[in-house]
Amino acid sequence: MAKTNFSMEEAFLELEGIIKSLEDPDVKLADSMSLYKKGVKLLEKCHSTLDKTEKEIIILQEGYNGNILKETD
Amino acid sequence: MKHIFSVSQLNSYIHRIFESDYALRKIYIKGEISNCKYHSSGHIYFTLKDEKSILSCLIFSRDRMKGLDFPLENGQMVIVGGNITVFERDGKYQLYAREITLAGAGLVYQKLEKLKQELNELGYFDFDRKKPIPSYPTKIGVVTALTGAAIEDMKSVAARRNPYVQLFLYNAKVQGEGAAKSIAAGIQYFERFGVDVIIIGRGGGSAEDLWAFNERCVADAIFDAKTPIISGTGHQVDMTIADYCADLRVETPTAACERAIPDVYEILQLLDRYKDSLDYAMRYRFDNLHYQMDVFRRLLDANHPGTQVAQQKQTLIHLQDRIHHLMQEKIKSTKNSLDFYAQKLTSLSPSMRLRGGYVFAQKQDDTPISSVSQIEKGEEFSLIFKDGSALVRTVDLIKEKE
Repeated sequence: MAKTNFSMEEAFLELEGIIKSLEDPDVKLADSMSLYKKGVKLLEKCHSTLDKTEKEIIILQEGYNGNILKETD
Repeated sequence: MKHIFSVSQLNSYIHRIFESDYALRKIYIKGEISNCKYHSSGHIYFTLKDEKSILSCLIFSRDRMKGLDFPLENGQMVIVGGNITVFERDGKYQLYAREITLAGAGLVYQKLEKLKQELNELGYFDFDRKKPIPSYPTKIGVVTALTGAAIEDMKSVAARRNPYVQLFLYNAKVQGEGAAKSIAAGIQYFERFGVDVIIIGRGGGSAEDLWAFNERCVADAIFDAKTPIISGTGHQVDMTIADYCADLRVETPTAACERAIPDVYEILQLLDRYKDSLDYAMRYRFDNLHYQMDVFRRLLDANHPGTQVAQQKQTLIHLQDRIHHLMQEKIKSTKNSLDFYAQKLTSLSPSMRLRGGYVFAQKQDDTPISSVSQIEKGEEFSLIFKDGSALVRTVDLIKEKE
């Protein structure tokens, strides 16, 4: 598995929860402010996780002695 | 005297012998297929074998249409009908097949079924151990044979759906000797390398040779992998062991890419929607607070001491106005009655009575004369008119009898 300490799925779940809390009129204003900030930060993180640099396919070729030669296409 | 023949003559002679043999014109042979090769011309070359011998066979593409209704694969036990004749050029006799039918499960198929059953019992195919395919992978490893078309397909899928996902292609041998090991090595390589999803499949090509995907070492590699694996081994109905073991099965590596690569525009839209929802919820919250504050402000304003004073002032002004008005009315009506009396009074004044020929008599000392007995003969007195007076002398006195 790739090293991912941040998961988009979890972020989305958390965002759903935050929005639900924000819509709850019983949540205190101060709390909803911090919830909102948290939501915006999560969104920023989602955006940055997307890592918008276009990627070319990397073709791995089996080299000698079982070594893998990396060769960009 | 030795007669010497050429090779061609001999082959031609043997050819004629074969042709003239009645039994060889139409014959049915049972055997297991091996060395099955699909030629680009459409002809299929294969070998039939049993425990002891082998026989070269071929079926022309024109005969495939009506004589062969399943993909011919190594290991199949078949009955082949056709004629046997000599290929003069190679000095080789072969069976020219016209119809081929499956003769029950071949030996290799029996082995395959046995393996399937064994792996099934070991839990290789269990649904509850299938790993979910991550929705937002960043790195995807593909184990397949790199034919040009497959790479281009995957490139275009990635570019269209999400150019930000990194694809790694492991160039594996997917058919022939060592293919299974190569595929297993690819899976193990990506396990070490670290990707979010592994795709295994045949990258294009024409052969129906799926054997590699039915081998134990591939099944083991899939079973041992902690990374979710999608298999795309082809369009055929029969699933390979790799298909059963994999966490998800689709038809081709390209289809697997479609499935594995999330659509970036959908993600971006989703992010936008979340942003809007957050903002909306917050704005709604604030709007609501503002509204409540307005309500409270109005309530507070209404109960402000200053407001009360102002209200009292207003009442006072109102009262003042009323008093003033009443006073005015009073004065007016008093004046009116005054005028009335004045008029009445005027109409009763003596000077008013002098109009119309009446005169007023008075003595020299201004005493009014109301009776003829007050004056004497020859006495002078005044007659007062409305516009002046006359001094007159009494000539005679005539008294009326009372």
